[in-house]
Amino acid sequence: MHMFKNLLLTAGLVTMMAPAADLAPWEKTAPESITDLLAIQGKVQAMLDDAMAATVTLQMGGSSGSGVIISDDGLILTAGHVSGTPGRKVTVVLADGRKFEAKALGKNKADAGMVQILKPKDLPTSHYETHKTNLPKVGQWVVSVGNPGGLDAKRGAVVRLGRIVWARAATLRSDCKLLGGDSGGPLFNLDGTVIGIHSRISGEPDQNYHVSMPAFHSDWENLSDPKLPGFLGVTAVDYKKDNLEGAKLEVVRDNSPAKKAGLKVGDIITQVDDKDVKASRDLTTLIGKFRPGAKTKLTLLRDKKEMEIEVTLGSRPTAQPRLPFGLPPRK
Amino acid sequence: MKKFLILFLALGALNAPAASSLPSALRTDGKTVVAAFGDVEKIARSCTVQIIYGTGYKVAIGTLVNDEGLVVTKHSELDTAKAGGTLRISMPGAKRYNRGKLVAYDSATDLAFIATDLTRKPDYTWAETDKIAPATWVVAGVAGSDTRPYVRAGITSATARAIPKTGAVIGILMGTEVSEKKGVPVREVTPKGPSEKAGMKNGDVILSIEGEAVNSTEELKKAVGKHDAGETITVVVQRKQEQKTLKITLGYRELVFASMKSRNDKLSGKVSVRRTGFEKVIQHEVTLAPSEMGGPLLDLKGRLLGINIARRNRVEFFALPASLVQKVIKAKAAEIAKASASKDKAE
Repeated sequence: MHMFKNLLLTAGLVTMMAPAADLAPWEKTAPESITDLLAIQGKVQAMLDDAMAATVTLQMGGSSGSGVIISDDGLILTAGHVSGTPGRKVTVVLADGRKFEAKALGKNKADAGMVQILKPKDLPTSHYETHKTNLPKVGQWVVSVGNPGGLDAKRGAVVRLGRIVWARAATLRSDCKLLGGDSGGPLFNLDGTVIGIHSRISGEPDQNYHVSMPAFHSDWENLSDPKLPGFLGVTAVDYKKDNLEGAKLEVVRDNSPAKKAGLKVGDIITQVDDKDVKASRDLTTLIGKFRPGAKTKLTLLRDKKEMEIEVTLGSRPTAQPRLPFGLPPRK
Repeated sequence: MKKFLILFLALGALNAPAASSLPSALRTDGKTVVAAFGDVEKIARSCTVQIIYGTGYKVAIGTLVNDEGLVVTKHSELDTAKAGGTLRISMPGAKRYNRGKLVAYDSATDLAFIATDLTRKPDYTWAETDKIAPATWVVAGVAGSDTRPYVRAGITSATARAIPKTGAVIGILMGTEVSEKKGVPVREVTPKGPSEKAGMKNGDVILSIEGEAVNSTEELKKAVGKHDAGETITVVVQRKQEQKTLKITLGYRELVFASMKSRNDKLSGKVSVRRTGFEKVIQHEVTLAPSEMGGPLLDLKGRLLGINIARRNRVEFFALPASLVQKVIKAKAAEIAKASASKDKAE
């Protein structure tokens, strides 16, 4: 046992005595001199032009947020609470002043969101972390870019420097100072690679949260597919009795669009937007033609009475990235 | 062996938070990181002063701009001291206070000049250019202590530019003027607003603003509109048989009327009473309270880039560039010399 203990102690010492002399100034536990600080500044300034060019303002009706273009064909990473209902219209304003029409794609519970520019042309783009599970290191220097308070053409996007305070599967925390309007903006490492997206802003200026890249990767198809089907959240079986055909609900999922609209187990759905439902398969097909966020009218029988219920469809929940220490996702 | 394992696991659990979360000393504003700015901190301490009013009410930070004891600061933060009261000045870490007297101010830049008997020569050099690259480290001089650093650091965070003036108000709802009568009646004084703080009452009739008679709501708006938020104006009102003179410090429309306050302003805590209307500013991210304006903004080479002038919100901070500060010092030199001389005579 003593040997075991000694071994552990030795291992501990070895870790502590990592070759500090070989570390780049931005890899040190903390900068030690003006020279180190200037080296960090040089790294930031080298990546900044590209980072600023790819950072955009997103305008949706009266509200506004930020985002970052990651591909020539106009795919933008943002926060789910910024892009909002899939399919909605978004105006994208670039750092160079150009404006593009776009639409919101998907979003998920980790607050990841995507937006698609409709007619992309000569777009500046940014690199992003493509490794599906990579998280930044605690203490790593990061650069936040975004538009606090919304678009200000004379000011441009605002840049802030900070460090990663902690990194969990779906969420990162940094001490970069953020404010409303920054949401959806990119968090870069010092190589200019997007490693997170600004999400929640806390009461303290330097305690803010970012969506991690794994939270995008684990859900990429759901987020990026503009043809995503609408989701009702029920399980139904075929119903046929006394000349009546339809789909009888056996399960209504908690928190589903169906539950929110007031659908109940035992309801027999006979029509979706005046189109007949003769079997449970018809229900799946008809609902699948709508996009998440669409409103549709269901005709149904409940206790032998016919009624109509309007339901706003959602998107199919997918396996969520784990939140090990349970920070609730932003509503 | 089993016992040891349990102990080991328990220790592991205790150590876990420290390993997974960045200790506060290592954060961007943390003690260990700020220690790297040691050389600039020495320079900051040679020129940063705390400005105190009365019995220890800390109103602003100031910057020593020559070896004759002249200090510049943010005028609208001097508060009651604006009336001409004696200010006290302390250098970082000093045990004694120096006396200071407001000798001039410039309403365009919101800079105030305080004559002191300090003889120290500041160690910085004036920056020769206003063109500062984005993401340049900047260091703000603040009032530190044995346990808190005398500087706070961050980077320049947006394009240097002009900040247009935005609407300032006295915080009332105007009544309808009666054509044959003089003045503008006050229907309602906004709670906690500038007029209420100055003692205005519902039903008062505003007769003049800065000596200029106002007989319509339009004239009143125009007279107030000439001034910036943070400026104190003289307002004469008729209250029953009496005429009263009120000193009202103007506030921003979007902050005075609670219903107009944005979410960002609600999240930003106290912001500067004057945060717009500047010819040119350097924008940075060094967190400063409104009462920490007036201090120096230095770069890593110890050059004075500017004077901190406004907390716009919790992420946007402004400094007036060095060249603009020097221009105002030059323009005010005669006024400063005259006021300083009269102060010497009086003492």
